[in-house]
Amino acid sequence: MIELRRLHRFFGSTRAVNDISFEIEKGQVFGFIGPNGAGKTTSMRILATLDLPSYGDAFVDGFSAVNDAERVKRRLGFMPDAFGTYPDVNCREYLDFFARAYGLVGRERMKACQHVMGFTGLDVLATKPINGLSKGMKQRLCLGRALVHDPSVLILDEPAAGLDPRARIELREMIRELAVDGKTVMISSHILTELAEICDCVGIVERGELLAVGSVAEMESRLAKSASMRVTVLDRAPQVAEWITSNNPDCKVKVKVIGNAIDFELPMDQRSQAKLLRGLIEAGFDVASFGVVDRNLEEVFLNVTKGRVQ
Amino acid sequence: MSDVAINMPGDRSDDAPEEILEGKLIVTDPLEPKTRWESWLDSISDWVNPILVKESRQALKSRQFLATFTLLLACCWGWSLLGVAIRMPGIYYVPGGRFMLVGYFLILAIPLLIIIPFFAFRSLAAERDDGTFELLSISALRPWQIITGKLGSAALQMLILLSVLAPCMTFTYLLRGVDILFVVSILFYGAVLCMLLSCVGLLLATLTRARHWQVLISVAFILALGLVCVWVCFGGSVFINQAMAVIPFNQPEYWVGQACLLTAVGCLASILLLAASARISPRSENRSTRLRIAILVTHFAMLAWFSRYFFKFDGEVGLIAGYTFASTFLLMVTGSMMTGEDSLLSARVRRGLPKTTLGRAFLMLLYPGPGTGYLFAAANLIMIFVVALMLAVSKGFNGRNQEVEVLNFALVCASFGVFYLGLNRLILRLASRSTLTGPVLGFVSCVIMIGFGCLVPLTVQFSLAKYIPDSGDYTMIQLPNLFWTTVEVVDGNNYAEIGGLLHPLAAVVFVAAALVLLLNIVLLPASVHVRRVATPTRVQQEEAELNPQPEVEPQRQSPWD
Repeated sequence: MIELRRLHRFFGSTRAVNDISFEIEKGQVFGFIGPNGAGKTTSMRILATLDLPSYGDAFVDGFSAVNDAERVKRRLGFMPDAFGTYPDVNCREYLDFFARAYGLVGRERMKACQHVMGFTGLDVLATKPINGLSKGMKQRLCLGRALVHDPSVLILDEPAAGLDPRARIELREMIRELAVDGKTVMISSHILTELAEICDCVGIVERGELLAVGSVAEMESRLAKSASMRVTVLDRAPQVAEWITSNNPDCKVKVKVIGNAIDFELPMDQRSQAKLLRGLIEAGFDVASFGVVDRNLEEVFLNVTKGRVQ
Repeated sequence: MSDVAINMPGDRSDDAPEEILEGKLIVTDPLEPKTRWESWLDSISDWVNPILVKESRQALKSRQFLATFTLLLACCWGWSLLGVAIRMPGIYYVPGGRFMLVGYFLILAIPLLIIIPFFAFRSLAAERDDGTFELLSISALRPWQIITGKLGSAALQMLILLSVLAPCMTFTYLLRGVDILFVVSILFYGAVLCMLLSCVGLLLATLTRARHWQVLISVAFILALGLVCVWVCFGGSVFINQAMAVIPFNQPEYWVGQACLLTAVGCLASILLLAASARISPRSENRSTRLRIAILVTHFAMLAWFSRYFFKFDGEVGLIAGYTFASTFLLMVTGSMMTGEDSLLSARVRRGLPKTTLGRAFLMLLYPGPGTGYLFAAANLIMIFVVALMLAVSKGFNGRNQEVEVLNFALVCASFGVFYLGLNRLILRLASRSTLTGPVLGFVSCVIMIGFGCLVPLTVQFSLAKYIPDSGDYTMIQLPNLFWTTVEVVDGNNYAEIGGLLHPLAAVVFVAAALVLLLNIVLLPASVHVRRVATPTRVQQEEAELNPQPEVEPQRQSPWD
């Protein structure tokens, strides 16, 4: 549905996007993550036909964003990170204008506007001037605008930026609903925990380069050379930590003691984990729990990226 | 329609239309037509440019429009009272229409010639400043629709403001002393000038996205509008007071003249609008063909009108000179921009190139690229000389001094055009390796080059004044000086004394132009010979889905089928 093929975008000597290629299947929610200046917005703008690549191409439903921009625009809803509004226009008029701009006429236009207003919860604010809306409501309005022509692909650039927790949860719910409706969603965000919950797939970029792409689980397993372990004991936690360090030469990462819990890293080998547990019990420690701690997207992100900026 | 209200305390609009139905809160759509009249208007609006609909809604709520409207109304009423008071008591027996009309004209000039064109400029510039332009760009609106929508919005404001003056005009007519046709003409040309200035404003708004340049252009534009307004107010007042009696409304030739004037305005406006539209189009689109067609149509319109008057006035050679000057100016300005075009053609543009050899031979010059742009301008410039020659011959060319002068003038103009545009193209070709070129850069570089071509020889000649006798006279150093060389060719030479038809200077300039043209043709084959690319399969598939071919009935295999 979406394909970035050897996408490059240079601004002078800066390589904002440097050879990025990936595909997103129909109905998938794709999280595009990376530090500021990584090239997320530039890639999204090229996909949304707002910019041209220096080399390579981006495709939506098989149509080139460079050479068939009109066909791409019909299929695409784009929500930029910063967007302008018109003075002296209310929410309903704003949506009506964009519905007209997408060529919707008569009842079809009326229905489309009513549908997106209902979906985004803006119907009660129909006559409210846009300038008087809160940030969250403006984000809803922008999402409504992107949806008004019923696109099959949605590109959302930092939609949750600046939103309070409630508005973020509501936005997340909306994106989930859109994915259930079969829309392909590409979303960039800094709030990685939220992305992990809604994304089928993520791509991590840094300094214009795609470092990793795949499902969150896939990336976790691919990147995990060692397992994060946690042992909780009833007492004598410092002694347990010392015992683990002295009896396990495989345990390379330093052991941390947090209350009665001890965190450490072990090779992914399950045999060595079983051996360690047996050793702990035989040494007379009262082990309350023993297990692998799940990695989250933030850890994956920190593991993959190096914090380089350009 | 959703019947679910989102519970956001404090967020609900106080005037949100709603009703309670079976215990549910139903929010009604405020834009849903309620009467048949509204439904009819709504369906009409489907055919109107969306930008016009949106901006009309905005204007009805905007303070700026309300203030302009109220102020204009107040001024009209004020002038009606003041004018009548000044003319009292003679107003009962002396015609006072013309006096009142001057006042209304001055009142109307400010909104028509300053406020509305500047509104058009700001309206488009603000879209870029406020970040709404990107939202328009990703909609299905085409650049041409965006520009015409903005112009339509300015036109609507103008019509509303003109409607304020309608009762005043009736009043002026009742006071006697002015013809109704004269009043209508004044209003009409005021409106035409307003639209033309709005077109200029729209083009200026597209020139740059940099904030500081935008501010500079805004200031320059408003100053220029102020000057135009002062000039029109002064000229218009004199015209109203003195010209009315001499305007031959009853003669057909007057109306033919008006048609000529309107053709010029129409052509100029279409070039400005197409240029503005091209400026906001993505680089991958074909931004040139329409514009080149408009330039070609303008050139042919000029040719047609000048030829008409040439034959009407029995071969007046001044008209050939007029045609030469006007069309050379047009082609130099537009040609300089064309030579600055991007040399890389997108696959999309190459998809649309002519398929046949004949098509390529005749239509290639209409397609984008600096090479084709230069050849397009050069072909038109050559045509100027050919047309001048044909016009002279058609009226029985007899080698009169005046005829020879005008033909040499046409040759020098065309040659200088080909020469400077060709040099511009070559320089921009070199520059394009290190920087992005564009039409504005093309124009600026051409102006600088012509400026150098004039100033450097002048400086050299005057700095060598002590070595050159009569240093104030024309010397061969001045050959690149477009203006002096042209004046030298046309004035102060008796061709009979020279003993030939072709002035030596004209011949030298012609040879130089031919060399530059040849050099361009040799160096730029790639930009002229562009390969057409096939339409992608996916596009063909969709085209087939959208426009299915009618099913062909199976052919009869036998008489019994």
